[in-house]
Amino acid sequence: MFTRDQLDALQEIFNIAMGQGANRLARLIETFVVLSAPKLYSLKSQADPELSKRLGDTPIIATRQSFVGPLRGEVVIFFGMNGANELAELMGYSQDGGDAQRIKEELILDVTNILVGACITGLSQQLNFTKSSFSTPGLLVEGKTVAEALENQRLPQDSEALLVEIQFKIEAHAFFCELLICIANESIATVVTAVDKLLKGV
Amino acid sequence: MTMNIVIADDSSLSRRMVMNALPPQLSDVEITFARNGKEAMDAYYAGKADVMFLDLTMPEMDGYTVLKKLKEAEANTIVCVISADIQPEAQQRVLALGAACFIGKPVTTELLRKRIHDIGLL
Repeated sequence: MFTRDQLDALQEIFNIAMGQGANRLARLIETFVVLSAPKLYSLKSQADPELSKRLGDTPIIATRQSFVGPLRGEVVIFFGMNGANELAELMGYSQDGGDAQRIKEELILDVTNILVGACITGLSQQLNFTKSSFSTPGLLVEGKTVAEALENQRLPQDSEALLVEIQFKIEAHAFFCELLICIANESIATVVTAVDKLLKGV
Repeated sequence: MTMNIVIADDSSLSRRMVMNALPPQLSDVEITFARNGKEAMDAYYAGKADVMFLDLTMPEMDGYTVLKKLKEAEANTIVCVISADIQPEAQQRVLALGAACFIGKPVTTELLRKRIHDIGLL
């Protein structure tokens, strides 16, 4: 799907976009966020065995949010099972009480909104696309493996997927998350053209 | 006298962008590219690092570790950090570790040249 140079450029573009995401996340939780160097994998589909291989078979929480505009697709974010608890704790919410589960879900969805917004907006800005619109983020699964989470969530036939493996870690906490970006084929061609233009200009 | 410059970034696109943004007044330079912190330190040990443009998030050895090692070695290398991690605390941390300046990505020619001027390389 992508050449090595195109993947290198996209990886750097996502790196910059995720840096902005980390900055927003850090402001939300008032804690320094440690960013890893992103790795990008081109996948044939969400069912690509590489995905489970990369993300393992430990239980996760998965959220999703779609985007439309010059770029069309969907981002799925995988959080560690303790991610919501860690966030709630960082933000001073009690882990007990009837509202605890609702608060944790809201936090995970807030973080999804921040990261997907930063990722797709960052991609759009750097490749000179107009802004995308976003759906409301939703919870996909909780307490299942990646394979189970995606079992009934096949990509549309005209889509391709990019796995952006980037870890957001919070020092002294177990919080981490990874992003799966699914881009519609029609948008892939647009991205490839824009990346080639960027590469040509350097 | 030749100025030895290291451009350390895991992205070849970023390495090229930084190289192309260097001001033409810096004509007598020898540039070494490093794809990670380890290669950046190898360049330092080889005496090829008067100036280092350093990314923070790199595989094998990150930019923070490079800064710590340079500090421990009491190196005279002038380090300009160029990073996507634009958290204010990241900037404070690298400056505390001895970096001369911080530039948030995406780097522009104008900003890079201004910072180079600010830190006295021109």
